[in-house]
Amino acid sequence: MFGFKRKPQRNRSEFETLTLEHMDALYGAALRLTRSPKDAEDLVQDTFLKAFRFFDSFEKGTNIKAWLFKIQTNTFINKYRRKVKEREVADTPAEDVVLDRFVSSEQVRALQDPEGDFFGKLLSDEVVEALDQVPVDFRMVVILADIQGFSYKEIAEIVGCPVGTVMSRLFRGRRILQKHLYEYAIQEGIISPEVDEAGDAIDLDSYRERRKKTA
Amino acid sequence: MECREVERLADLSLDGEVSAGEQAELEAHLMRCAECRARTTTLRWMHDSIRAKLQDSVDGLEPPAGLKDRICTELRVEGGAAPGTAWRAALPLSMALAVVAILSWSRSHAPSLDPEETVDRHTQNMMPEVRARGGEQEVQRYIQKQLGHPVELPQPDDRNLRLVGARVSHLDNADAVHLLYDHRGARISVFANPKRGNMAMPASFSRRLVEGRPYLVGSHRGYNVVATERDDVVYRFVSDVDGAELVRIAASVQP
Ligand SMILES: [Zn+2]
Repeated sequence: MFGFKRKPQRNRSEFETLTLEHMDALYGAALRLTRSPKDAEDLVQDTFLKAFRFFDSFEKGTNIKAWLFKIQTNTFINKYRRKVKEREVADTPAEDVVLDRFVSSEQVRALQDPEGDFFGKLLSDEVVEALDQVPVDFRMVVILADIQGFSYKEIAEIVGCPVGTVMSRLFRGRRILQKHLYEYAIQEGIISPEVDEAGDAIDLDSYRERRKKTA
Repeated sequence: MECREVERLADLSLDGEVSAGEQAELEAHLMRCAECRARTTTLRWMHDSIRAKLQDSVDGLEPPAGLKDRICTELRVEGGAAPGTAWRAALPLSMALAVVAILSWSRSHAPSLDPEETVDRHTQNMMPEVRARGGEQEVQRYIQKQLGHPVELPQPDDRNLRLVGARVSHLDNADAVHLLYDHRGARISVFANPKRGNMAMPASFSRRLVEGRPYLVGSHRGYNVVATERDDVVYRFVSDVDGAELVRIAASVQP
């Protein structure tokens, strides 16, 4: 890696110039993370204060947005995550995170129907509501990847976990979100799932069993 | 590649996080496997729609009035004592650990200013518009047709560097040729565009001489960037391969 270190004298106006423009993004992410406007506000405020205290450790020219998100994520994990988790356990049904194929054959068929342009017609609010139901550890990476557009590497730095963990959480988080929305569509009668043909690879066990034999 | 492996790679590919080699293998599988093709098409479609809606939801979302004022007031109070050593000694241990984490993190990202656009083009992971299967001539022909003039392709003296394909891109408000290479499974983008005036060196970059020729090297968002010029053409190499290795590769390119 290239680059060099330096230790400039930092001041408040420099800090404000660099960071305040990211407040909207930080707040948006905080709101989806905490699901509470009050907590989101507190989290953003904590983040800015902490960032200012640590401003000396920020290296000029590096990605300030990612740096701020790292601080916010750390703060969230240390201070709010338990609270949010408790709330989630209390008000969301037990999440079945055992998923079969990344896209089930049923989904492929139901969504291929031209009238079923369901995901395209979804309202932003409906997607957000579904995202709010994704457990917080998975939701966190979905927010960073799909709302903030950070790369896997950046997310790994921000969350403080290996890139492999980012990938599997993102994979899982997106599947849960897609599944929620798909089920929502069925419940609303927007799409109607067809009954599976026998032998369809929806059942993971039989799928793997078959693989073993053919392998 | 097996169908089961497609599942995992499909998401990575949507995020532009696969190597050129993996992308090519994925595409080859999709060409011959209708089932995976249907699944990945559905996946892409769901993913794109959901992502767009999620981004809509924060577009124009503003924090409650007063939050900014409150933060600025607190900063002013806090700013009375300039950040320095005094407060650090008073930090509880957990905060001190966080300082260490942040320090090591920011050091791993070397500073840079300019290369945002270059890295962006690389990470967008756009498909090549022409593939180099039929050899370099095909790529040459394509570029000539698109730009109306030939562009000399770099001739790397590194047998592990394999030209995958190319597309016409845009950098510094000018047409640029985006060449995609595979280097032992890692993706390397080489951008070539006409030199217009002297290359400005981002403050965070450093200059290196290899065999008397200057290279500007730095990294941005975790990607290494090496820039050099030959005969009024600026070449930029972007990849996540190690920086020194990327300089070596760039230097192996014969004019
Ligand atoms: Zn397949």
